Amino acid sequence: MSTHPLLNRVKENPEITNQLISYTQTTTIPLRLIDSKGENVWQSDFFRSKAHFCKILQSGGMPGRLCKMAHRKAVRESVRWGEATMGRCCHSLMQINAPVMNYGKLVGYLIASPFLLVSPSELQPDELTFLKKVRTKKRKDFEKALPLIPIVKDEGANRAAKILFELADQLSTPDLSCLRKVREIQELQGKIADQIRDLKALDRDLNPSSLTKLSYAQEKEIITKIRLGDRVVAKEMFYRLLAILLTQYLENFELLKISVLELLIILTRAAVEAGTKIEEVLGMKYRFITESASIKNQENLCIWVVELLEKLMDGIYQTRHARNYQRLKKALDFIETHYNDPLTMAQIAREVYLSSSRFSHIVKSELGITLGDYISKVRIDKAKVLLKERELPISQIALEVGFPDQSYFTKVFKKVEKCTPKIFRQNSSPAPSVLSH
Amino acid sequence: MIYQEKKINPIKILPTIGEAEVEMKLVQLQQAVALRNCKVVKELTEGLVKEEVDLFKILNHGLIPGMLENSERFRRGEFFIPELLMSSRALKIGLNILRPLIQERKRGVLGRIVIGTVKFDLHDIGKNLVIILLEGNGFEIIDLGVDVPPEKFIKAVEKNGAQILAMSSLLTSTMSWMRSTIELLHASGMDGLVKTMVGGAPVTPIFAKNIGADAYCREATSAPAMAKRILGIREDEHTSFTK
Repeated sequence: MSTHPLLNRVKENPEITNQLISYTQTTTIPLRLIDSKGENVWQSDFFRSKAHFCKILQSGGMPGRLCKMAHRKAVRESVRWGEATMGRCCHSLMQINAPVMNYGKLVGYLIASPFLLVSPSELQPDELTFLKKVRTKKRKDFEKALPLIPIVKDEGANRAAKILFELADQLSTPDLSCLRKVREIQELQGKIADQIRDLKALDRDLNPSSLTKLSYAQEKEIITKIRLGDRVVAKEMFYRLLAILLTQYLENFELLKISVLELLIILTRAAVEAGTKIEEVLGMKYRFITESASIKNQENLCIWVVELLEKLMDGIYQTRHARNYQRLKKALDFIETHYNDPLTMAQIAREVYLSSSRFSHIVKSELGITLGDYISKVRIDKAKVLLKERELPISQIALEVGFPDQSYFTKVFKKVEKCTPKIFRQNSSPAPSVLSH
Repeated sequence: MIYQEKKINPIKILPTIGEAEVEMKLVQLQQAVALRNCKVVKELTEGLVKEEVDLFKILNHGLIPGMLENSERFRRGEFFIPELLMSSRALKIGLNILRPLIQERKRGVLGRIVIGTVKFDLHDIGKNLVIILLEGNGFEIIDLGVDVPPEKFIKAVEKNGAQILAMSSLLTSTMSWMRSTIELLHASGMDGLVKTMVGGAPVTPIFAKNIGADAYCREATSAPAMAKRILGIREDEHTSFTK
């Protein structure tokens, strides 16, 4: 079988050739386009010079077969990660590669190599073992060739990898969107894993009852953020909720799916309260049910549900009064930084240039709770952190988060958290992590 | 921690140095790894070895924390592959100085551990750090790399007569392969002879218990202690390599 027509285009189309040439010009790294059999389809001028590094190395006992194997291994990895991968081609020399695909099938790849991350003089003896394989006669040529290898450091190498992926994207038919999807899934999974890691830091054991409690608390909070339109924070919280659900139902996909759907329904309710048209939400709910049936694994479920959340928030934004919104945001930021002062409605309303009654109305309609309740919630959240992390007496914590005295603090805490501060502190103290069977 | 490229003065070799100075040099070593400065790493490691500082201390308080710092930055998206490669290069330079000395001074092997990242998972940064730590503590490691299917784990345990099977997973979607591997280990009748150890960002203690793992490692640095614990070895055994 000969080279795929997709790659042969390169020779016939000067525009594509120019793009490949300009890659080397901007990054300084030599470039090759290689077909699935490992044959060169196109290469930079660098490889035409007789004394180029790779040629000397190969003539000195390093067969080209090894290079080909290294390339193939790298391209397999880049397909699995969904991005251009960077690695070593032979010992200390670096390579970047990106796959060229025809409707999701690999037809060849771009290899940007060789380059070095440090100057040759900084290479350590064990990084130069390949030198031993070069015949003594060739040593001189080799010493001349080594300084010709471009040195591309951290930032530059990263950029080179990004551009190479774009280039491969253009060469592919229709493009590399299939790999982008892979990347997206990987990134989301990474974010969820990070959230679980943070959860573990928060609560050492993550037992089912504490997880359930946590997920209720997070649900309430995300609803507030959605109402508020704080997209970035809402999304972060959503990842955390997914992390909690995954920790609970990791090995039971059906239960996981049901809980994710349940969560979506709760969020749509918040969206309706925040002003999204009811028809729109009903249409979405219909989608949940029809589309979710065809989702068969956890990774696709996560990516699907994150997309839906985005749509849900888009719906809210379209119906929002932008001005109220900014004022509210400003007021909440003020509370966030002044929670330990004795705050009053009049004072906060003044901060955002509104009358107390107008401000109170906006708060109630946008947040769904009163200003007093919101301030209490912020203070209790801060107190929870202090209770967990610091050994301060409860009376002092009450004062530090803005309550006038301990008894009032305890009363509010009990109302919000359903337990006293003391019990909360006892429950959140770290436990040993050894497993007992 | 300060990340600016700081100039670290070349060390002066004194006949004996105080504890405070050793601590300071360990911090400098940590910074040098974090700043990916191979030359300084080499100088400092050699200097500390010359001062007869405990090799394990150099590893655990100097080289490893520097690398951990950078892998954390990689996780946060502040660093990319080139920075990470350069940090592991700096780490390797220090390790190359310590390794022969550790080999020379250790009294036998504490145990043999087969380690790998589970099937469909390609993450290996954490696992590689665990390997360095375990090796530094006197364990013999058989590294199976990434994307390791259950059968391969079991075969390697059998072939090498390992006492511990250690698995890492960085994705919730691949965690269930830990269960499959432990189940296969049970089915092969080797579960009495081999202990299992699991770890990774999404792995929780409850999950580890549910799948029947013998130990759960919260972070890379807890791996050596955990390995010793499940094998019933005293905590301080082989942690000191001074003459």
